[in-house]
Amino acid sequence: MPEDILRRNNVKVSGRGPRAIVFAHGFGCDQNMWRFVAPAFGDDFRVVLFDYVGSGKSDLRAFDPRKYSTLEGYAGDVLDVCRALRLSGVVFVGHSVSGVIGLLASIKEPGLFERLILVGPSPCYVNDPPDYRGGFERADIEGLLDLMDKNYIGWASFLAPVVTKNPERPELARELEESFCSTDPRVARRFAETTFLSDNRGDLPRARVRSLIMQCSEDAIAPAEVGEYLSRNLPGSTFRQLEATGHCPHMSHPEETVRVIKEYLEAEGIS
Amino acid sequence: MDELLDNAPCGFLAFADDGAILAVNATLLGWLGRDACDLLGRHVEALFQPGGRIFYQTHFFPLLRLHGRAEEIYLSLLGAGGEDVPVLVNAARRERGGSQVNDCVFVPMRQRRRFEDEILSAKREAEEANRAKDALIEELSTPVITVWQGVLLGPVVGSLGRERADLMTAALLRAVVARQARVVILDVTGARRMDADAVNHLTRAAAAVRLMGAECVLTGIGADVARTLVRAGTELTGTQVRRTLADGLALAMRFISTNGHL
Repeated sequence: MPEDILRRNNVKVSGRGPRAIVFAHGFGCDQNMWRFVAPAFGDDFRVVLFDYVGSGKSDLRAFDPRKYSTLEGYAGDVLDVCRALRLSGVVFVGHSVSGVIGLLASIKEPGLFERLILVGPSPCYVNDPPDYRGGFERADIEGLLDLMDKNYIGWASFLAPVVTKNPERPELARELEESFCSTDPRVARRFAETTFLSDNRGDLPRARVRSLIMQCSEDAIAPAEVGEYLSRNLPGSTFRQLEATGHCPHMSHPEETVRVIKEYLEAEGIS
Repeated sequence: MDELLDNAPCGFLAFADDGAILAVNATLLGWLGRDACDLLGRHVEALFQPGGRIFYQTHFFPLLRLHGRAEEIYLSLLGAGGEDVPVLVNAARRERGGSQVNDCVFVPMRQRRRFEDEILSAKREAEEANRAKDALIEELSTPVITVWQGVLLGPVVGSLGRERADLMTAALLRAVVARQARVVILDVTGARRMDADAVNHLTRAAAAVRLMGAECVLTGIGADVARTLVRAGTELTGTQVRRTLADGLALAMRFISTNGHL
């Protein structure tokens, strides 16, 4: 059974160290997103990368629309992977929606996790006036779904010819194999809806594992107010403001991302 | 900026990895109704609608960063009056002046968008129709009929695949509980092509029914099903078998009237 999970979630293990660090990608991409960050932990940790079911090179047949219509379903993937590798005392690094997914997993099995690192997290993306500003209106999320639909029309026709028309350039085919997004539009759409329409503010007080909130500057997806809300309401959390701008510091500012994670783990006496 | 590029019949924009806009041509500024000083140095997200900002962060930038290029990406820019300016984008990463720069070329696509909107809405309608059809088939494919107080009939019509067998078993078990059934007749008279897999599904359904405390009677078994059963060496212990539905019904009635002796 563990082999099934490792295949299902396209789990990749590297590095050496007594403790495991698990990197979880956010919506829209797969484990490749950690390409510039994960290797920096290989000397001290067992580095675990995986794709959620429906993303990257996971087994699409395992995608159950009902299960993955809640973030708990995705948290199930995290727990499955940790159990399949018999991990404990895990340092979990989750980007964006994976921050909440990791939190939900840690609420279910606190014993499995040592620390949570939340990169650009948000417990709720949609505004809930008058007291909560997540940054988006429902109509904005519709706008995103519309853009995704339109691009999937394009991608289907844009991805296909690359393989067939470039036999003399095998690296292109290889690149495609490592295709960075889920190419099944229904699955991607479901992940988008689950991500951006979930409200997990009520789960924050249930946190049992200490965590680091990494707040980016000028992040349109997880704005400063959301980070402040989290740091007020998430027990055991430490707040770090990054200089990195945007929502993907692990891609745009990998050095700072690595440094801040390492500083936190060091300060917490974890290595 | 080169005069040719500045006024070329396409939008041009360059931004750094941190999102800061480094250059923008006059054509693009014209479409967006902006001044260069409005945009230079600002985050490229300022060009998009809110949904587009998510798309930029979750799809466009990662694609560009990981693959070094992005082609034919559909984006929607924010016009001066807040209106949508639909564009297709090609982008490439390059090193310039010691740092990475992302160059983007935009082509407006108002006409094409109308066309694509129509395709999409047709696609959504087709998906909706498909869903409705699936729901209807699911409903029709797993009927459970109460033929007498305590006697249920599950007719199997068509082919019995794994998914359908699961649905049928679930519907039967629900009905056994809800209608307090004591006998379930599984009639395969109308079943098409009962291969070893289908027979397997059937015997599992029968076993599940028995576990719920009801008797199971299998009827309508033709010569080919009998052969499959023998070939597969399937054990039907505990399941009564009758050739016709009428025989099965008679057996069920006897069971009810004698209070549980088959």
